[in-house]
Formats: sequence, C-alpha cells, structure tokens
Amino acid sequence: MNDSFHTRREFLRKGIYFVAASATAPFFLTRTALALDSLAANSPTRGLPGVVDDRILVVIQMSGGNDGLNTIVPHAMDEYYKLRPTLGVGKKSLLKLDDTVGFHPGLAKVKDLYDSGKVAVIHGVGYQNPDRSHFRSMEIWHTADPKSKAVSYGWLGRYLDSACPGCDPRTKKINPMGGINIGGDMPVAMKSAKGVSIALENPDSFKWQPLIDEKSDAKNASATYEKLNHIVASNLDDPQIARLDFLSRVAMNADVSSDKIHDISKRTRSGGTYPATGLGNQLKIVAQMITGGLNTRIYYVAFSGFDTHANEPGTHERLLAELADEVSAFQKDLEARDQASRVLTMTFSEFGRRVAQNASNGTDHGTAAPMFIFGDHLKAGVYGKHPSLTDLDRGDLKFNTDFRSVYATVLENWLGAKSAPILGQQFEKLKFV
Amino acid sequence: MSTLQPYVGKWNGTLAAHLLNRTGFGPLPAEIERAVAAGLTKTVDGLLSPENEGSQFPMPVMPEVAEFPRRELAALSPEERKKKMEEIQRANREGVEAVRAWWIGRMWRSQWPLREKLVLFWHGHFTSSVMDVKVPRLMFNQNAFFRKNCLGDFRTLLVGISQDPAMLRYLDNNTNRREHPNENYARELMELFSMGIGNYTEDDVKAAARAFTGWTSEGEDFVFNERAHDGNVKTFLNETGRFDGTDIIDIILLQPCTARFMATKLLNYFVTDHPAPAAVEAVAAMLRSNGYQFKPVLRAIFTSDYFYSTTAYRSQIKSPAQLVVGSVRLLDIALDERALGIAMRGLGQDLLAPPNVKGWDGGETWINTTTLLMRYNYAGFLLSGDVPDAVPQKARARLNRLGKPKNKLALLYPPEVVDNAPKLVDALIARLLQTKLDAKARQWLLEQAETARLSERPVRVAHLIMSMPDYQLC
Repeated sequence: MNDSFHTRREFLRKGIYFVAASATAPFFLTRTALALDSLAANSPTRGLPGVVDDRILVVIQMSGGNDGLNTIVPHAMDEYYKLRPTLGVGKKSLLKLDDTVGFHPGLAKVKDLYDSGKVAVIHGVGYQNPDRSHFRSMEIWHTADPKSKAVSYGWLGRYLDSACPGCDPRTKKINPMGGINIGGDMPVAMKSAKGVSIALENPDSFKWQPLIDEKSDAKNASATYEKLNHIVASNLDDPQIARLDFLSRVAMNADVSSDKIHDISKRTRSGGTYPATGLGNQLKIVAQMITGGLNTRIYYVAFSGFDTHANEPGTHERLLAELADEVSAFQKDLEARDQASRVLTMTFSEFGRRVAQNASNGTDHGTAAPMFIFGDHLKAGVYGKHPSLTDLDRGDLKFNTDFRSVYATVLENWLGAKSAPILGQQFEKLKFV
Repeated sequence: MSTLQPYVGKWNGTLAAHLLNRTGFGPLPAEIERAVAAGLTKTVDGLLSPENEGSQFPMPVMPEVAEFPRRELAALSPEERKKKMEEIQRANREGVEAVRAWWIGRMWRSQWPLREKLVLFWHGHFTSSVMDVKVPRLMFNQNAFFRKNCLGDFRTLLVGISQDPAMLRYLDNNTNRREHPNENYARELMELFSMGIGNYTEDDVKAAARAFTGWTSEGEDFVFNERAHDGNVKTFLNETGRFDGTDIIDIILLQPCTARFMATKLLNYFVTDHPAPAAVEAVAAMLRSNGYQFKPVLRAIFTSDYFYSTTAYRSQIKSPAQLVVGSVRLLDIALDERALGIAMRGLGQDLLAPPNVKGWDGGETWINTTTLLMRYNYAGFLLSGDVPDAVPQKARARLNRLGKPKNKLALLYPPEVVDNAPKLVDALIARLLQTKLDAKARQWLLEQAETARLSERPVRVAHLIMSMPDYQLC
C-alpha cells in the first residue's frame, strides 16, 4: 500500500495526473478527482453545429404516476369527457395547442415557453406490457430495461460509464463524467459500474464539520478524518469488509467533491426568481452549479405527489403549476446566466393513469403518458401520436412511442453518445434535437 | 436445511453484542455482560417475552380525531375559518411530533427493545404515512396495533391492518366502492404486504379490489359499509366465490410465495441483506409449519448458526433510527426525543412518514455522499450541540429550541482515564464499536487524543470514531 496518497490534500499536491496514473490509487478516486477537479478535461467530444460542446441534461422525475390525460388534454376526443365526467378539464379553461390537444391550465408558463419555441411534447410514451406497480415501473424507466429485473445500473449510469473511456488512467483522454442528484436519495438511474455519482441537498453544507477546540485546529482533525475514512479493503468476500469498502468509497467521494462544490457555491451566486417550492430550490442549485462550471453533464431532481387516486383536481393543478412555474424560472435563470443553450431538461413519470376516473374523483395507475423536453436549442413542437381513447387495453392507453426512443434521442443527438451499447439495442430516434 | 441449525459454539461478548444490536438499539456494556452471563437461550427467551410497559410510557398528547369540522367551519367568517384551520393544522403537527417522540422514547428506554424493533419492522412493511393520513391519533393507534401483535400471527396482522383506519385512509380503501373499485390497497396488499410482485395478475388485483369494497372507517373505527360492498362472485388466484377481504387474505396465506416473501423480509431485517436461498426456504417452511406465528420463527433465527455466521456479523448498515437511538444510549445523552426525530429525518428516516408505500429500502440505500456526511455531522451535534450546517433553517430553529444535548462522557471517563490517552481510546472503541479496530486507525485516534485539550478529549475521540465507516455497521 502506498501511504503517500492517504488524503485528498496530499493527493492533490502530488498532482492529479500523476496520481491517476498510479496503480495504487483506487479507481473510484481517480474518477472522481478527474471529473471534478480537472476543468481542462472538459474537452469537446463531437460537435453539434452552433452548440458549445459541453451540453448538459437535467432530468426531472415526477414521482407517483402523472395523469397524462389531464396534462396534455385530448379535448377533441368525446371519450375523454365521457370517461371523466367530473375530472375532465373543460374546453374553456384549457390552453389549446391545436384542434386536438391543449395544456392543463396549471401549465400556463409551459404554454408561454411552448409559444416561444422552447418545448417539445412527446405523446403516449411507454413500453410493452406496462407494469402498474410504482416501484417496478419506476425501475423500468430508471434501468431502461423492461424485461430483466436483474439490472443494477441505471441508463444514465451506463451513459456515464460509456462516455468515459478517458477514465481509464492509462489513456490520456479524459472526458467529463459523474452525475449530480440534488436531494438525499441517489436514483437508480444514476447508478453506474465505475463512477460514483453524487447526491447532495445543499452545496454549502456538503462537508464534514470537525469539533475543534483552541488547542487543535480543524485541518489536523480533518486529515485524521480522511485517513479513518480511507479503508483499503483486502477481502471483499467478507460482507463486513465489503460494507466498509463501500462506505469508504462514498466517504472519499464526498470528501473529494465537497471542496469543489463548496468552492463553486462560494464563487457563483445563486439567482433567478424561483417560487419557494422544493423543485424550485433544487433547480436553483442546478443553475448555480452549471454556471460555476461543475464538470458534470447529468443533473437529476425529483418531486412527488402525483399518485392522485382521490380528489385529484386541486392536487394535480398545484403540481403542474409547480412544474411549469419552476421550469420557467429555471429557463429564465439559465438565459440570464448565458447557459441556456447548453442545457436540455426532460421530464418523466413512471406511468400515466387509467382513462376512466374512479369513484374517489381520482384515477388509478395507468400506462402511457406524455413527456416534456425543455430547452433553447430544440425543435419545438408535438411529437408522436396521441394514444386512442377508443382502442384501449383493458381500460388503459396503448403507448405509441417507446421511452427508450426518447432516451436514444437524448443520448445521441444531445449528449453525443452511442445509444445502442447503453440501451441494449438501437431505438428509433425522434427529431426534437 | 443446514442453514438454520441451532448455534452450538461458544457464547461470548462479541456474539452477545451482535444479538443485542440486531434485536435492540445500541447495547450498553452492562447489558452485554448480562447477556453473556445469562447465556444465549435465556437471553433470547427474555427478548421474546415482553411485558406491558404502558405505565412507564404515558400516552402522548394528541388532538381528537375530528376531521375538519366542515359545518362548524362553514359558519365562520373567512378570517376566523383561516385561523381555525391553522389551529387544527398546528395541533396535528404537534401531535405527530409527540407520537414520534413517544415511540423514540420507547426505543431508547424499553426493557424489551426487540418489541420496538419489530414495531419498526411492521411500520416499514405495512407502511402508512401521516403525510396522507393526517391524523396523529390514527398513526398512534396503528403503532399500538403493531406493538400488540408484533410477535403474533400474520393473519391477525393482515386482517387488522386491512381494517386499520390509518391504512384505509393511506391507501384510499375508504373510497373503494363497488361502482368504481379503487385498486390501490388490493395491489399493495399483494405486491408489498404479502406475496411480492410477479405472483398474481392484473385480474387478481381487480378481483381483490372488489372484495375490499365497502371496507371503510369512521373516526377511530373500522366500518363495513355493506351498500358499497360488491358481494358478487369473483375469481381470485384461480379460486372462485363471493369473496370479501378476509377471504382474499386467507387465499393469499395459502400461497407458498407468501411464506417466501415474508421469510426474505425477516432475514433482510434481522440477518443479512442477501440471505441464501436455502435460508429463505428454511424460514418459509417454519412460517408455514408454525401457522405463520412469528415468535417461534424469530426464536429459531436468533439461536441459529446462520445468525452468528460471518454472513450476518456486522454486515448491516445501521438504519437512522438504529444509529441515532443507539448513539444517545451509548453516549448517555440527555435530549428531547423530538430532536432525535428531527435527526432521523435528516438522515433519511422520518418515522411515521416513510417516503412511499414500499417503506425504506434500507441496506446500502441509506448511504450516499449526503447522508453519510450528515451521519458524521449529527454525531457532532449529539456531542457538542452544534447543529450541522446542512440542517435546513426550520429544523435548525426547532433543534435549537429543543435544547442542547448533554452527554455524560465526563462521568463515564473520570480524569484518570482521560489522562491516559491509550486507555481512553480503547474504552471508547470498546463502547462505541464493540469490535476490534485496525491498529493503524487506533494509532491515528491516539494521536488526535493527545493533541486535544484534556476536557475535550472524550468528545473529540468519540466524534472521530462516530465519523468512521466502522461506526455505521452493526
């Protein structure tokens, strides 16, 4: 074992590239350090005309199963009002896109973005043999693998793995990698084989706080803390040691990244005018980190409450308005910071809801639903075909666009990655970017 | 089934600490010594024979179940109505905090901590969240129901939870009527509470939902609303009849997948995140042969070879409840239980408000960059009273109002021990980790102890130990 790399500080002093090439440096550590500490490493991959090649994807998860039919309302379909006598959104109140569909009134700000060419709507997104369990369906969206239950890495995690040939210390080519989840829970979508993505709630507080007295300084304590958290595992077959190794990797990742993130949050002010909601706070941090030049391409935020089995109208309106108002604020914030052209934001939910309303003035778990893509650099419009309300599968919509087509489009046309190795096969791409 | 043979090896402090950690929250040195002296069988028997401790833990103060008194509210002016609504909301908020604190107090001080550990198991299994249930008293009643039946049989638990007002509200069965069945409860009953996904069809979900129509509640009581109930013939898991909810539960209990599902959950919770298939089969077989009684099955688990194998020993990541309650016990801290509830929430386990109907995933999902740093920083809070920077403003203010934690490390470690750095470090390792520590790590702790001011020594060393991966395991 090489004692000289026990702590991050020594390690940074000796030089990233030297350490990265050293066989004794744990793999995760080199990855994280390279990702977060090497701004110069953000070298272009393949060019997209007119776009600086440091593009970023922000994923917004709407947890609980968003009612797609009350999000993009098919107002020209009689069945809609027949099956939803009290839940159907009235023709007068909705914000029409055309003769067939309109936005729920809560989405006023999305309509504004749409009118200025910054929104793509994709109808009827889903997958074969839809699962109506929140957890299973969420897992399917996260792993992009409807068939197997044994996939332990997420689609974004696999992207991060594949996008990073330079993470192999033996090559000199280094690409950005790692993803940031704003919030305490790491989504399965970001789990990857090689990288350790980061979950954080608040950048300012993302650090270990030593207890100090006047006799000993914080630096001294921190150095010991780092040593205590750097375990070199010998025998991963022993479950105790495997666990210690896991904890140690997370601890060192937190340690290495916290300085960088702390630094950005000090250098780059948060701004914009976000209504005070959970989603707003998350997106505000994302905008701050993007502006500060954190070297990551994937940001992930989640907000919940969409499981509207009962008394749906008020709740759903509030949630859609939260989405619309905060995404609109985010977009404005990015524009003011001159970052908007490199950011694409995508929403999804684990499923839509049953076409017919239930007896509780709500809707049960369903299937296909629309997705939103937001950004300054996309081809705005409506994509895919709206599912039929007469040709149903036991009361549920039949999907028209495989969700992996959307992933493939984002991976290839936005992030510049090859999608087939990540998604297991080549899916047809859409044309929104 | 070699995996669940009785354990016949030596009985010592290491194994006793393991048993008491898994069946309780942070065992103290004296408790470990007592268990060593009593022997394995007697210790397990004691854990499994809890007595009534009600008088020791007086009921928390909670508002009455009163929903929004609609008629009363309608008669008020808009300003008065707003004021009244805020009053009700505040009473509920304080009520749930009180219930949470009351439960944490039991985890902390119960003579039979296994009972509280099982209540936590059932709370994570049959989840309900006060976020949806709203009424603290209903959450309290559900918690009491778990406490009463935690060592009993599964059928009683399934029927009881299906008629539990908090659950009826949480999974919307209150509004499950025959004209438009609401499938929420029926689906989760099978997927998460008994059989596991993949063992039933969508038609089974629909049939079960019909069987539970009309199962509803009023105030604190279950009510069967016959008019809303669908009494027609249903086909459920290949059986046909005029089933109601109880029939559905009885059919579920006949499925072999149910025993396996519950065996896996018990093994996950008490033994290992990755139980061997043979161990699952052995526990499933025991559940069936014991009529789904949990007490004999738990006895077999806690006295088995498997439980004391390297597969199990210190292979679990402590849940936030385990970590926080264990820490205040081990450091002998005086602190308002409500503050402990806030700390657990900050670490990802908000008692009475699980994140979703699946409960907490546990294991490695407790840990990511944020929660690990929070664990270390909350340890600092317990030792120093300094609220971690990451704590949001509202929770910070609340923590500060609830008073500073006071530890008794100064009493535990008198000056002659504190003066002797190696002695102090070894004592703290033994108390907090209950296992041997790598020699180099011990040396680093020693160096820190020597640089610290004498009065700060125990606190400084304790914080470093609690800021280690090792302290996260049990």
